[in-house]
Amino acid sequence: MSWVVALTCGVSLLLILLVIGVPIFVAFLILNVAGVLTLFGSAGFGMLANSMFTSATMSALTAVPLFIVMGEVLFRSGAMEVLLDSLDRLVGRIRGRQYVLCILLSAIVGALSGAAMAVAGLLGRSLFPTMIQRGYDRKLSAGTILAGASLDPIIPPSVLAILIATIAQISTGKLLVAGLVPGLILTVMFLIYVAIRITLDPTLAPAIDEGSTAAKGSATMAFIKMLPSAFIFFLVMGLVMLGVATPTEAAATGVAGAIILAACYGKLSWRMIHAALTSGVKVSSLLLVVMCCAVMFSQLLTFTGAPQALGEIVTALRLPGWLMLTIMLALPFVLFMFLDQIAIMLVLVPIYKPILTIYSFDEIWFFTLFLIVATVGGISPPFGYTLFAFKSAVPEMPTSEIFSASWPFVWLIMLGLVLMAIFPPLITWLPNLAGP
Amino acid sequence: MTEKPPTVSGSQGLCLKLAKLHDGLTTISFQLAVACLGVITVAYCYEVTARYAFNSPTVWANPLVSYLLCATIFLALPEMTRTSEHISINILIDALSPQVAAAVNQLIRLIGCFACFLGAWITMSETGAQIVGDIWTISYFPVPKWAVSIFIPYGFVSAALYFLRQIAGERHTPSSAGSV
Repeated sequence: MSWVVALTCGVSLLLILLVIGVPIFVAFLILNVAGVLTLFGSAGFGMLANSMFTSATMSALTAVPLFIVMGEVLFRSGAMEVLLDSLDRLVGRIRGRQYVLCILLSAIVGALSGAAMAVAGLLGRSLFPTMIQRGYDRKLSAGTILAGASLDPIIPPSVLAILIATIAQISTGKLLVAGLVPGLILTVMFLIYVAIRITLDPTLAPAIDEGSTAAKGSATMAFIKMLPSAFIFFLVMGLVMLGVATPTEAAATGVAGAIILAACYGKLSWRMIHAALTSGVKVSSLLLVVMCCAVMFSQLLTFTGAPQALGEIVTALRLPGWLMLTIMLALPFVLFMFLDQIAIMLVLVPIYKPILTIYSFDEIWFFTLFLIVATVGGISPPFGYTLFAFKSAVPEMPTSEIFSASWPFVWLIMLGLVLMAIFPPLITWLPNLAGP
Repeated sequence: MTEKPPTVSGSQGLCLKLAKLHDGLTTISFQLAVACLGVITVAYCYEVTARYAFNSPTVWANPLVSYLLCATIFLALPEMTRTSEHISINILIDALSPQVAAAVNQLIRLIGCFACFLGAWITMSETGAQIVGDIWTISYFPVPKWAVSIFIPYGFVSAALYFLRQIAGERHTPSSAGSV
């Protein structure tokens, strides 16, 4: 069977299964069983079983549940409330402070959790009603929440980055660290955008005199209160950057640090640890069972000769690097609006790998751009699913209004993406500083 | 006038008992998965301390963690299927009329049941071969390979049974969490 037929049939089968709503792990399992039967017959089933075993025992993937547990412990320890209070005080009396607070809070929550949908839902339920009540513009409020949530999978530690690094077989530590500067750049861009909008149209935010900062204590105290959580973040990412510990070991250290912090805040209990571990098991098993059932796809792809043939086609096309990069990022941008991020990653990453080699694209740089595309897909109408998470939290807001609220931030992220594509050091300098 | 409790035939009673047993086993296996994640955390913390504070890395932490990760994923799989929490794309189902959506949901469960039984059969055959061949893992902390891989067919069989039970109409939990 030619690779074109194999690839077309395989991807079509996968798309049909995904679109009708079959669980993603089941869709990949069926695809891989069909692929093995077609290419090797039932004799290849042992290979499929071994592929699942190898993926399930890949210790690098242990970072996924551990980072989730770390975030859960920090959420339950009361660290979030302390951070919110401190941030609230530090932002101070500026016009549109709730917008600023929302974006900064999202960036910090991103450093603790990394799940855009969860943050969009959380802030949609908690912060959004407060903002509306205080006279903030509905559309801009929704936009800042969606934009802030989209930072979460970019700012480390990011579960999505660990999964991409594992599929692409690149350094997990470097890809994690690589997300830090782009996350900060996008945060600054969002803040500048909000400032410009408020300057041009002061009615978007209420007058400055809302709330009293004096009642919230001194700014120095607020800063000091943020230090324990910040210490855990820098402990985790610092260990990875210095090459002292692997991301998995750093994640375990982060869990230990979060538990100590919870003890300091007087919130540590067996029930809390059990709840955090339960949440970690639930989320990570959902993600990792997909990985286990899907990894064989890239091996089957290699057997069909598709990556090599695609490489030859790409070489023959002689497209300029910028055009190839645009195509390689535009395709997932469209797909991420409709389909699950992990499913698309599992299909595209093995196809992209040889093209990266042909064009000598830095893998950390490219996959960080890919990660940003994955997150922007989540807030791109009409099917970005962070939008739906927000809609479920704010059912009274019309979908069309949520869509129009998200568009300016989609374009802002795209602008950031273009900047990072033109100036690769924005992404690569920090991971290059990191240890091996 | 009091309502009579519904009568349960012998075969129905047996099915209910088996379903209860299945649920009980799933709850235990999920709690084991939680315990495995706890051990993973402790093992890695111990490893980091032993390696960087005492310059005495362990040989068992890394392999133990990788074995426990396999157990964690597949011990939790049945619970995730029971609660219909698997990640899926529900755009089409949401757009359909309730009757058609119900039919599509049944089809999805049928496909899920078939795929999981198939996955269980494939992985169980491999685990059986590992037992017969007395194959051990290759690491500094070797164990019989079947002792780790056995969790995979367990997870698939139990998940397949949940899909089957959902087809039979025992549970109609709509998929929500993790869906798109």
